[in-house]
Amino acid sequence: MDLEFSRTTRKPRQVALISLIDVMFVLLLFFMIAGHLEQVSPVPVDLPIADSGQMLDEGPIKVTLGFNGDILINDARFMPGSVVGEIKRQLLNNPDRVITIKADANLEANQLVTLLENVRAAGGVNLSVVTQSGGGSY
Amino acid sequence: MDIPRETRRAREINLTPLVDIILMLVIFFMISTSFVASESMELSLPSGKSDGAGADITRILVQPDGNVLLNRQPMNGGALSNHLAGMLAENPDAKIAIFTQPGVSVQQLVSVMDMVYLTGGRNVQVDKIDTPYEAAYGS
Repeated sequence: MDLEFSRTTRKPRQVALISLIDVMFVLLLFFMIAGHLEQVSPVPVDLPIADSGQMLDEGPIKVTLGFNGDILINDARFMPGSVVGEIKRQLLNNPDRVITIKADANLEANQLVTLLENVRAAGGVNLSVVTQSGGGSY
Repeated sequence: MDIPRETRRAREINLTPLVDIILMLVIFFMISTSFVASESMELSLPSGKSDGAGADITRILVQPDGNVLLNRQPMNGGALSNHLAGMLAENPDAKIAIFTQPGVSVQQLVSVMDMVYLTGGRNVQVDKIDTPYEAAYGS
C-alpha cells in the first residue's frame, strides 16, 4: 500500500513585521514629542519644587550647587573662593547676562544664600533659580 | 531567442534593517529624554548690601520646622499667605526680606519664596543669618 502524506512545506515562515514597526513608530513619536532632551549635569541635582516658576530660557551662565555642595559654573568645578572671580570674568563683556542657578533641594539654604551673596559681589543682577513644577505644598 | 520574462511575483522589501534603526532610535529617545519640566523663578538682587535697618521692610524668617516668623510673629503657611495678601493689596511694591538660618533647606526657602511670589510680592530679597534668629531683628 502506498500512502502519500503531503509534506509540510519547508519554506521559512516570515514573521509579520508590520505590526512591530507600527508599535515602534508610535513609541518613537511619543518619546520625540512628549519628552525633551536635556543636557546631563555632571552633578546630580534634585531641583526644589515650586508653583510660581515660569518657563524661561537658560541663561548663558549656569551655576550649579550640587547635592554635596560642589559649585559648578558652566559644568566646570570651582572652589568656593574662586567663584566671585569666575563670575566676574563671565560678566566682563556684558554685565546683564542672565545667571541661572540650580541648587539641590536638600542643601542648607544658607549655602544658597552664600552663593547669592557671591554672585551679588561679582556684579550679577539678572538671576533666576531653577525649580520644577509638581504637587508642591506648603 | 529566448528572453526570460520578468518574474511577476510581488517582491518583498526587506524590513529588518528598518526595524533595527527604529529600535535604535526608540532606545536612544527613551534613555535621553527627561520628563521633568524645569522652570525658573526670577530673583532680583538688591544692588547694594541689603539695608537691614529699614523700617518698612517686611521680614520673614524661615524656621527649620517649616513654620515662619513674620515680623516676629510665628505663623503657618496659610496665615502668612493671608497676611501678605492683605499687605500687598495696599502696597504692591512692599519690600519683603526672607531670612534663612542654619537648618533650613533650600526646598523650604524656595517654598516660602514661591508663596510670596504667588501672593503677588515682587520686591523680594533673600538673606541669611548665621546666629540664632534674634540677631535678624536687631533692636
